[in-house]
Amino acid sequence: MEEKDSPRRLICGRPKSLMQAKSPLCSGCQHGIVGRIISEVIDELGIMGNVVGIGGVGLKRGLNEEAVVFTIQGDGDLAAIGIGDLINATVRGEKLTTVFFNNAGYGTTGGQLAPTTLIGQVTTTTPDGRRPEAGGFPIHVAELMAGLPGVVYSARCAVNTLAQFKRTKKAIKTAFQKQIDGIGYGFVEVLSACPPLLNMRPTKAREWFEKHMLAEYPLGEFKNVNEREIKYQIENN
Amino acid sequence: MEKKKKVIEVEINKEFCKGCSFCVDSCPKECLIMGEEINSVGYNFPVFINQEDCTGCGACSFLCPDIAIEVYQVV
Amino acid sequence: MVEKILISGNEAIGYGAIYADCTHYFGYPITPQNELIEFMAREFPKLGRTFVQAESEFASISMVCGAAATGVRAMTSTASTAFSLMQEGISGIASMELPCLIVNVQRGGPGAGSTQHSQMDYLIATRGAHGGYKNIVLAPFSVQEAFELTQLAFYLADKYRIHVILLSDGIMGQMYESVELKKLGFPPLPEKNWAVKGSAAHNYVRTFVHNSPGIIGSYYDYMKRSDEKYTKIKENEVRYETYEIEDADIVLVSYGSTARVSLRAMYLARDEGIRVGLFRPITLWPFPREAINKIADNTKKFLVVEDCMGQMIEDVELAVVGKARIGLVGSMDRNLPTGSGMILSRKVLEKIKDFN
Ligand code: SF4
Ligand code: SF4
Ligand code: SF4
Repeated sequence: MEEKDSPRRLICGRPKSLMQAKSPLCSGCQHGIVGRIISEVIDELGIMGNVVGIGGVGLKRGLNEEAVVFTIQGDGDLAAIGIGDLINATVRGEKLTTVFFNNAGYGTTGGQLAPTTLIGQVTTTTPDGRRPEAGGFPIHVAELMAGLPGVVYSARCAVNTLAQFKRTKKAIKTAFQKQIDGIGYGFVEVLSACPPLLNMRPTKAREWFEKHMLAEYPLGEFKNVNEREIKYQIENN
Repeated sequence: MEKKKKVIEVEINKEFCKGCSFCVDSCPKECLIMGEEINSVGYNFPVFINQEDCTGCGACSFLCPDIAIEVYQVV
Repeated sequence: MVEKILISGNEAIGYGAIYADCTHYFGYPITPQNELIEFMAREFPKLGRTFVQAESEFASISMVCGAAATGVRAMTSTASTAFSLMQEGISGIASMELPCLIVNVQRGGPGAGSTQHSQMDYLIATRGAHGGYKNIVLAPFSVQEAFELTQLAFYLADKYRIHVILLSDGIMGQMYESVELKKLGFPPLPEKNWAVKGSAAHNYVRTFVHNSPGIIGSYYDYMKRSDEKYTKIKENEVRYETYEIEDADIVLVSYGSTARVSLRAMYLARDEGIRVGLFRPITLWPFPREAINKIADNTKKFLVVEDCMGQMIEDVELAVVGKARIGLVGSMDRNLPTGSGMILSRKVLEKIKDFN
C-alpha cells in the first residue's frame, strides 16, 4: 500500500506467504479466513521454504525429513471417500497436519448431503432435511481422531468471532509444531458456514452456523499430548 | 495529562472485497458500513466511517474471508 | 564379472527398481504379485528407501502420486482386479503428468476372476481410464527383460514426464530364470523443476501440480502439450522384436508369456517345414503399427496369440488395415477348463496348421 504523509505501522493485513491475488471462493466463505490463518502460522514458524500443502486426498512420503506437510480437506474427501485413508495415515504413524473444513455439506458440487450434514438440514439430496433413517448421523471427526494412537493433537475450532479466530490460530500452530518436533499427527477441524450450500446470504449463513452447527459440534481440544501412546509391545530378542 | 489517542487507519482493497459484510458485523465500535458503490465485479464494499472510535483491534481484517482489509497505526 | 542370480519375474522387477534408483514403493498384497511387494518390504528399508504397505490399492496409487509429485522415483505394483481400483488415481497422475511406474501382474478376470495368470488387461492398460490420456506400456517376456524394462520404464517416465505401465502376468511373475544384474546406462534427463519440494528448493518460486487442467489454467495448453508428448513417444519409443519374419507365410503376434509359447510353436512348425515367424511387441503403447503394416505387404496371415478373448488383436487389425487375414489363439484354446489352464505350444502349432 502507498504510504500516506505520516509514517505508519501495519497492525494486521495479508500474511507474507499468502499470494497477492483475489480469492476464488464464494462471498462469505470462511475458508478464506482459515487459509489466512495457515499462512500466518507458516510465516510465524518460518517454514515457508519447506512447506508443502496438499488439497484433497493422497499423502506424500517423497520429501526430505524437515519438510512440513499439511493437507486441507473438506467433508467429502476427508469424512466420506477419504476417511479410511485418513485413519490409515494415522495408523501408519505419518507425521502430518490436517486442517479439515467442516461446513456440513458439499459446497463445490452444489450443496448435497455430506456425512457432516446436520439432522434436519435441507440439502439438494435431502430435500426434506436429513433423516436418520435414510441419511444417518453427522460424524464428529475431531473426537474420532482423538481416539487414535498416532494422533497427538486434535481440536475443533471456528472462525466466526475474533476470539475464535485466535483460538483457531493457536490450534493450527500447535498442530504444525507437533509435526515439526516430530511428535506426531495433528488434526484441526474448523467449522464454517457455506452460504451457497445453505442458500443464504453470508450474514444469514453465519447466524445459522452459530445457532445450529455450534450446537451439534462442540468446540475445544480433544487431545493434546507430547508422545504417541504404545500400550503393549512384544519384546523381540 | 491527557492520554495520547492511537490513530488508526483502515484500508479496504475494494477489488478483493466480495461484499459479505462480515467486517461491518464484527466491528465492536461500528466504524464500518457497507457502501453504495460497487467494485468491478459488482459487489458493494465497506467504507471506514469512524476513525474516531476505532481501536485497531483488527477484527474487521482477521474476519474478512477475502483478506481485503489492512489496519495501520499512525506513529 | 556381472552378478548372475536365479530369481522370479516378480523379484526381477524389484531388482530393476533398485538398479533404477527408485526410492519409494507403495503397494498392497494381491496374488500373483505378492513376491514383489514382499521383496520390496525386505530390500527397500535395508537400502534406506521407503516401503509402505497401504490400506488399499487406491491408497497406494495416491501415495505414488504424492511421492512422484515431489520428484522422486516412485512405483506400485498390483494385479488385475486391483488395477481397476487404481484407475482414478492413474487418471489423476496423467492429469498431473507425473512420472512413475505401475506394475500390473495380470491374473484372470473379470472381477476377482482367478488368482492365476491371463492377459486380459491389455485394453485397460493401453487405453486407460477416463479422460483420454495415453501411457507407455511395456511387456517383458523373460525374467531378464522384466529386470531391464523396469529400468527403462523409469527412464522413459522421467524423459517424457509420463507414467509407465509394466504389463506382466502371473506366469511371468512366478517364473524363475537366471538374470544378469547390471545397471543400464541412459542419456541424461531433464531437471524436474516442476516438482513440489517446498519453495526453498526452487529459489522460492512456488511450484504447483494439480489434477484440473480444465479448471486451473488453459485446457488447450494441457491438451497441446499432451498431444506433442504422445506424438514424440510414438515417433521415438516403439520397441519390438521379430523372429524369422523374412520368409514367413504366417506371422504370430504375441507379447509376454504367450510370446514364449509362440516362439516354441514357431520352431516346432519350422521343424515341420511350415514357414512361421513371430512378431513380439515390447511396447504395447505405442503399438508397433507401422512395422506390422510393412510385414503385411509380404505375409498374408497373422495369428495373434494372447490369453484372453481377443484384445491385442484389435491393434493388429488396425495395423494390418485389411492387407492380411488375422486369426486368434485365445483363452478358448487353453488346455484346462480351470483358472490354471494355459495356451500350450502344441495348441498354437495346431492352430497354425488349421489356419488357411
Ligand atoms: S461453495 Fe461453500 S465452501 Fe465452497 S467456496 Fe463457496 S462458500 Fe466456500
Ligand atoms: S469482510 Fe471483507 S469481503 Fe466481506 S465485506 Fe468486508 S471487506 Fe468485503
Ligand atoms: S480495527 Fe477494530 S475497531 Fe477498527 S474498524 Fe476494524 S474492527 Fe472496528
